[in-house]
Amino acid sequence: MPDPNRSSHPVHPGRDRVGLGWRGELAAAILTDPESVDVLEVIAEDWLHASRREAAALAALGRVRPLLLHGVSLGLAGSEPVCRRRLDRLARLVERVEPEQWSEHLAFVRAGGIEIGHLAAPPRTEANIAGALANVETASRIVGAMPALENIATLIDPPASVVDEGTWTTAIVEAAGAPMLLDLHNLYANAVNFGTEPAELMHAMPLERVALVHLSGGRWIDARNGQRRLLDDHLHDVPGAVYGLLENLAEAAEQPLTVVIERDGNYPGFAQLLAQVEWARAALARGRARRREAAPWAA
Amino acid sequence: MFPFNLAGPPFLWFYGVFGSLLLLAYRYYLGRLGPARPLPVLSQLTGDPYAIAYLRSGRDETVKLALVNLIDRGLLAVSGKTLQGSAKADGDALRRPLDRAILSRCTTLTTVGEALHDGRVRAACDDYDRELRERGLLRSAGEQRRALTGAIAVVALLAGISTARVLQALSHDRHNVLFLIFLTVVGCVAAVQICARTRTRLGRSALTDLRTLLRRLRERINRLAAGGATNEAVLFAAVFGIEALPAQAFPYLRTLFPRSGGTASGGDSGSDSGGDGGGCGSGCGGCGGD
Repeated sequence: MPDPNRSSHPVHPGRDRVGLGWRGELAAAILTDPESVDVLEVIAEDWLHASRREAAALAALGRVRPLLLHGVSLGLAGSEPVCRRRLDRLARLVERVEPEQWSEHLAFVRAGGIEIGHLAAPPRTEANIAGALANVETASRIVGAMPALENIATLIDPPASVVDEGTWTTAIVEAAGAPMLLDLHNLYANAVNFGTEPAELMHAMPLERVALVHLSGGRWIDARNGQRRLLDDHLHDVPGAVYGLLENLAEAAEQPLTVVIERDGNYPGFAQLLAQVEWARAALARGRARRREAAPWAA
Repeated sequence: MFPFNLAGPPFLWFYGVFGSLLLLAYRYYLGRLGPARPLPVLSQLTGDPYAIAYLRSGRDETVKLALVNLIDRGLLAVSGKTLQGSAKADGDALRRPLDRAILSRCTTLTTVGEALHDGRVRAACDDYDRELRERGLLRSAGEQRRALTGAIAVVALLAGISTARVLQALSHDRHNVLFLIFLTVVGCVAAVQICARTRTRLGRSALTDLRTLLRRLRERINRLAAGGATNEAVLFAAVFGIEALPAQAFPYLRTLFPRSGGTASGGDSGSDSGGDGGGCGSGCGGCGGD
């Protein structure tokens, strides 16, 4: 019986790594040059209904590069218990593919049998924290490994919230004893959309628990009140400010980080994506260098 | 109950079931041939898509893929149905012996058929054959001999039983044996086809994995662009066949490789014929693909 408090594999690989989200459109490019990335992240929902043969193909990909499984539909922070059937399928997939780690969003995605088709931020209340913790416990028990929990982007400040995003996220991640998947573009978008300093919001997160990092891009959209909002759409390049946050994170965090660049469409040439991988590596290296300068005894 | 005592229809049932079980047993036996090896790491294959093409469909398909690759990179120029090395072609700078052999052949106007039958080009393909056999993805010579022996045994058994029954029928002045002969021919052809599949279980597994992983790209085929900037298109064509490349981006494909052009073994269409069938050519006759 696996220990649900543990990840399926050691989450800290011993060094910083940068990889890409595995998408069908990028598959051939990645397979022709797999050494250009350190890790691959696969969307779990793409494979939940996979046959044994298809799961074997995914496991074969895992022998090319370490795999991370990323869920987008469990709704761990929803108001209802997480769907048992989805968890059973996910557990089967994890068992067959043996990813290094699996992850899911702290989001609300359905209620009363209605799927909202979106990762929404729930009201940040004590009751919601308790519900999310119960869901995380159920998920880790059924899947057999603790998920890394990801912060999400939101265009509206969740109504009826009684705590801020940092406090809410920290409460869940620490009480669950889970690793955190810190999405820096989500964090950046929330900060600029609601008038917070991005670095300040980042430091409100449980940085000592961050094992995985997501980078992505987005675009500015007009909101109703004449203001503008940054939409995290995964269709654009990673902005410079997000690399800056990654650099700050690498300075602040002691543990090795695994960074994944997410791109879900409007794909640039593969060379351009690899350039972003290199920029992320450079940001990590700069942050680590600053950390060594600030505390040479720690290095 | 002795089968030869059975009346006509029951005997045909017996023969059909017996033949099916025999073929299944033969197939199972072939699947267990050779030493147990760890599953191959896909990146060992994807590093050279030509090896995948060879594993999938043998020598001719590998040469065709190499031609497409060289055209895509601007090293071969297409003129109607002929090819010639372009001004920027420098064979010595190329990594793969097959690319060098093709450019060496194409110093003058060359048809696809001439390139396919060039001695140096074919010799360069033999490297892939050797490499894939060493990795256990294609049957070794010893495994191929055993496969051939098995095929001969299956054919002999099916044909022997059938012949005996036909003689028995004729001796009783019965001439309605055509369906039995038809079943015999079908069984023998099936045995030969199973023998001709030179891919091992590992080889089939590797190819299936690649097809599964690249399936979504196939659904978005128009994303693949010509120009040779990356190996994407070559890998895709290695796994699914050059016919799967988008015609808009690779307009010369129809001219150079017409589907009914009869240029040797042709594409893939997901067949399981694997390798070149070369190993079976040591005496199997119809087993070989080439």
